[in-house]
Amino acid sequence: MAALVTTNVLSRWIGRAIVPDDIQLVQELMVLVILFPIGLVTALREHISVDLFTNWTRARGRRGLAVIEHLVGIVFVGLLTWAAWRGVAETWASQDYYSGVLDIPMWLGHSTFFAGVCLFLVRLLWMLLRDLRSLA
Amino acid sequence: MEPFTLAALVVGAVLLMIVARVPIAYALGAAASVGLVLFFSWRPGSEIDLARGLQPALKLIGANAYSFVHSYPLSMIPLFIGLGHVAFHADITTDLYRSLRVLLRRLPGGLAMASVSGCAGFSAITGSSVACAAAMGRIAVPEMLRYGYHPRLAAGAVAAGGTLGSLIPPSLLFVIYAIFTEQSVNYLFLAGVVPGLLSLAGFLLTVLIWCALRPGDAPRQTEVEPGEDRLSALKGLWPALVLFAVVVGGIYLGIFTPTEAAAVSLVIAVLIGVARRRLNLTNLAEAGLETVRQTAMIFVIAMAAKLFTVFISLTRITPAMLDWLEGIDPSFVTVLVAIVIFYLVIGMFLDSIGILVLTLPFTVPVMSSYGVDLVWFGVIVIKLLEIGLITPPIGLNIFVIKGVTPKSVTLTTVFQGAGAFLVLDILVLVLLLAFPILSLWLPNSAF
Repeated sequence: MAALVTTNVLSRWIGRAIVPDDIQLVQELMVLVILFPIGLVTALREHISVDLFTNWTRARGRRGLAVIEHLVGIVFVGLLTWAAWRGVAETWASQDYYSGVLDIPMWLGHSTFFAGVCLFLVRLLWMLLRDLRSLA
Repeated sequence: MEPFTLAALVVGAVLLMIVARVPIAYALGAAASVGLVLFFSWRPGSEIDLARGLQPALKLIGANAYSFVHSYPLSMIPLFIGLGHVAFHADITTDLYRSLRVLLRRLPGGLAMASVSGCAGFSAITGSSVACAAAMGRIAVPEMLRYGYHPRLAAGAVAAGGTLGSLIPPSLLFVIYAIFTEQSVNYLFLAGVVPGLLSLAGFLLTVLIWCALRPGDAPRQTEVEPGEDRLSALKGLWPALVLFAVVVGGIYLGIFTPTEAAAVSLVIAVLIGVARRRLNLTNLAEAGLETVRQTAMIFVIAMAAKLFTVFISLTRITPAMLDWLEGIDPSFVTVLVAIVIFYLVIGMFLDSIGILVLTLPFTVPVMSSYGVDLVWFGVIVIKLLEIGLITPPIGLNIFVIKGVTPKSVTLTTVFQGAGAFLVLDILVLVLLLAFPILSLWLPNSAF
């Protein structure tokens, strides 16, 4: 992404930008860069949360809170996945594209987004099962 | 159910979930999504019909979440985060500290001053307070302890210095503020320069006063170690200066947009690292992994906050709040003081990004109704969040410093040390509140 933007900035100084549709390409890359590592962040339990009020809880209590955390996450990501699927279906049906040299189809970004949130949802479901098992 | 009641219930649910340790992103996202479904399912005088509400709600959720991620201007966030990690792995930030340490060693509390200034320089590259505290805590605190500095001064200087990352550009918090208030990132970055330098001056003055009152806490460094001459020290400064010039100079002179400045400076940092043989494929990959993890963490919370903002604006809770405020007609100073106290208190408990995304939908309309310049207000909010980073009982930087320093440095020590730096920091805040020109002069002169 950095190389792409820099190439265009430098080539713009010399004459004209040489990478076609750089803005669209960066946008497509953004979906990849943001969505795909979310599963990893979730697995490492690195999402920002406030534990000041629950520090006193025992191990079992914390596992219970983790289950609630996953359930809330599943509600959010579940609805997001559903909404993302609709985006894929709509753009696939319309076959719309970003007008430019490359004519990048809109379904490409929507599909990447959908795949990313699906992975996020699967990770959350897997973590829910694991934490439920440890509670039992 | 009235939209206002629904909004109040959703806000209450968010707070409850946050208290129950649910990640802020999940709490905001789930509450806003369910709130949107309920909002569209309800019609005055009829029962709630979920089937009716689901379709428009999903459309809004999908469109807003996707457009937030599929964004060119926001690509500056991963690029600036990447710049910070590459600069760290390429030793650009470490060299900056070492150079300042040599250049400032003859001054009273020279090492502490070098640490604070190093933090400012580090922040100017990384844009993240916590990353700055973590990195400098590892390097600078053990160094100061080795030279006989009191742990309170050593830890406090780095904890306080670390907060400068929020104000000195490029600041990630400014980018997030710009997104949610639709302000110019260029303007905000430049508006942070003078307040950032003022805060730095306040911290340096604190070190001087500390050393004057308790000279034993910071023994003078008299011996010169091999290779620590001033000329070699100056050589260590150039990579950081180049990166700072590209980011701030490029934006100020209108050569780059913030996104381009982020991309170009990241490429330059990689080239410097490779040319100096400090960066290889292994640590470049490590920097890349850290970058995508941090980016994902920030974006998931911001994406959820975007949905929350959409829900809040649909329910029209803020106009109702403004009507109520108009009814009691408080003076601007009263409202400003209330907001300052609110941010100071909430800053003690919540993470900076969480505070921004949770509160801006409410505080910005209030400030706008008084005709306040939102760039100036942004500087004030970020300064308040910066103070929150070193204020008990949470003070994220304090815990970060505690986590990366020797066991002999206790949590109380770090809090006590940072507490001393708070005094002048509050004074800087008062100056910024009293004289908006301090924040607005630079952006106004550039654009």
